[in-house]
Amino acid sequence: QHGRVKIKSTAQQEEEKRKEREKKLKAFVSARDAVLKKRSAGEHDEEALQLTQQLLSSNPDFATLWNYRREVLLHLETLREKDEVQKLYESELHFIEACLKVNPKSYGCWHHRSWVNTRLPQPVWTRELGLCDRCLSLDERNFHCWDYRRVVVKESGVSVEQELQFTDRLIGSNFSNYSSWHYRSTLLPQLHPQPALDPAPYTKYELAHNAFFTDPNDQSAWFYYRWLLGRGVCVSGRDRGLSLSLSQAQSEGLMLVLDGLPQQVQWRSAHPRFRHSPVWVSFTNTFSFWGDYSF
Amino acid sequence: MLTIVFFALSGLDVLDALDVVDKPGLIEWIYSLQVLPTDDKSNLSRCGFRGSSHIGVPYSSSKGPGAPHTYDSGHVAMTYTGLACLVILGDDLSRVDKEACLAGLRALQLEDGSFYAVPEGSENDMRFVYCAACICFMLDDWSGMDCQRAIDYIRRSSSYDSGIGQGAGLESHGGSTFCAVASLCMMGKLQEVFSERELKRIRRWCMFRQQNGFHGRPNKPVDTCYSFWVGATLQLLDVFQYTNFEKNRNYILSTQDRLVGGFAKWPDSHPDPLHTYFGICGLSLIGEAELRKVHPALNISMRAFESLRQLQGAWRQKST
Repeated sequence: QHGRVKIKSTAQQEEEKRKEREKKLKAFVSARDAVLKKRSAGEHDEEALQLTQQLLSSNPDFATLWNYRREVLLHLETLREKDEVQKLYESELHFIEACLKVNPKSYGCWHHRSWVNTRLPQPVWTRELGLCDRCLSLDERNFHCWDYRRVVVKESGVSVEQELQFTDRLIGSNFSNYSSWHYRSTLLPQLHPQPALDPAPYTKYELAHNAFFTDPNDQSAWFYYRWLLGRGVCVSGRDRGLSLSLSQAQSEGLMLVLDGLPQQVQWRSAHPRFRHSPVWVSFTNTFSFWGDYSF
Repeated sequence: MLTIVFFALSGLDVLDALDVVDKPGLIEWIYSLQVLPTDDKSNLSRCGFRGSSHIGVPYSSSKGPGAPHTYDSGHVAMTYTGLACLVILGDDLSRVDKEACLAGLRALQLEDGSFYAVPEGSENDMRFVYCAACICFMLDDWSGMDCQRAIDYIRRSSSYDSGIGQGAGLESHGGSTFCAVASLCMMGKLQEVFSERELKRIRRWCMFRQQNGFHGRPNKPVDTCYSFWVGATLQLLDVFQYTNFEKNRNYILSTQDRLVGGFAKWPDSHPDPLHTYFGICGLSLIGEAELRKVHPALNISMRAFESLRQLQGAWRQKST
């Protein structure tokens, strides 16, 4: 009933609805009691799968039923050959997908799907990725799906670059995609774990710029941009000198490398009393640069 | 269902309307949900409170040992709300087997510091870390969890935008941010775990959740319950006074049902106990007249919290 909008109806319609609900409730209660009785009796058979399927299809948040289903499946595994086990769990995935259509945000469903993939002799990760794509196209903010996608990507060895491209596509088609920006924030550091030493990827501001020029009131790009600016290096004042703002304090020993060539530059801490500082300044008018720099 | 009873009961408490409740009857019912140790104590790791009697265990009002049952176990959210309800009802918790509850809780904690809801396993995330912290806080006994591991889990769940997600790498969320901050406050470790700089950023992320009411994540619609989840977090971080009370209040009231009362997540939607309760708590935070103050971390009225403090004082006296 979460978040349903009210619709007015006549007294007769109300009565019909009430009778319908009562009928459903009776069917549900008797199926539920039957299931719990079977479980107490330790029965792990096809009938258990059928009964739990019936109940979970309309109520995928009934955690006890997923637990029981897992017990039944584990037991059936011991009675089947490998290719039959594959079929058993593939049809389970089919069933879970149907439940997800009812409630794409059910903790129980997603958790069970993750579990099934650990039991499948041969998981089909491309299919799982496809499911995530479909789910996200319906609701880009479904964090259950994003979380599941992260698991799939990890298990199937999809490259970080590929996933970054995925976020490029999503953000490109809709800048207001906080979940995609968030995902980028976890992918970039995987590809480039040392922003202070390799700042270039973190200075590609165009995506963020485009986003907040398109809609300045949207928080997504601003939060992401703030994070980017705080990564490792912020370089300013290229013509007459450099000021370097790092996300972590460093002590002396900074070396500027310009287009592959190390430069002779004197650095002074912006906090003269401290050897460890996040901000360093160099004064030089011997060069202005637009090339690729690293430190 | 214990969590729903908690919403109703605590809501009535904040409304100062507990006199309508049959306190002794309710106390008995709650105690009947306690999963007690069996004579041989072989089920200690499964103790706590269950959410309801649906599994068919015979009724027992916690006056004797537990009856063994293969599938009977506590649920961390039910243990938390069960204890909270007893406190609200003025019970002295003397029939709670504290050792068993704490043992059951320890059994739910994973290597990474988070918690399952039930011993046979479930999803694990910040919600259950919060439930665990509440249980330890109420029982005044932190042996129920490895705090350092839980703290590590919280730190790892901190996101690039300084909000906190349900777990590592997961998107920042108003609900999980509340769970994390409230847990740390109850442990008394907020300033120890986050630097002042980090706290400022968390404050900022939370502040940006106010649109008129509050939402749980950027670019999502506002929802009544976040007036509490985010509001209480801001209160714990000492900056709630800088939010816009009027817009917040107007939003919560716009979700009120004109006919049957209660609050919904959105205007013109069906009210439910959860949103009604958190709507009331959200209003209490802004100092709405005739509502009791709410403890922003433990999420019970300050009245109930005071009686809990007295109880804990008596326990400490006894043990010295």
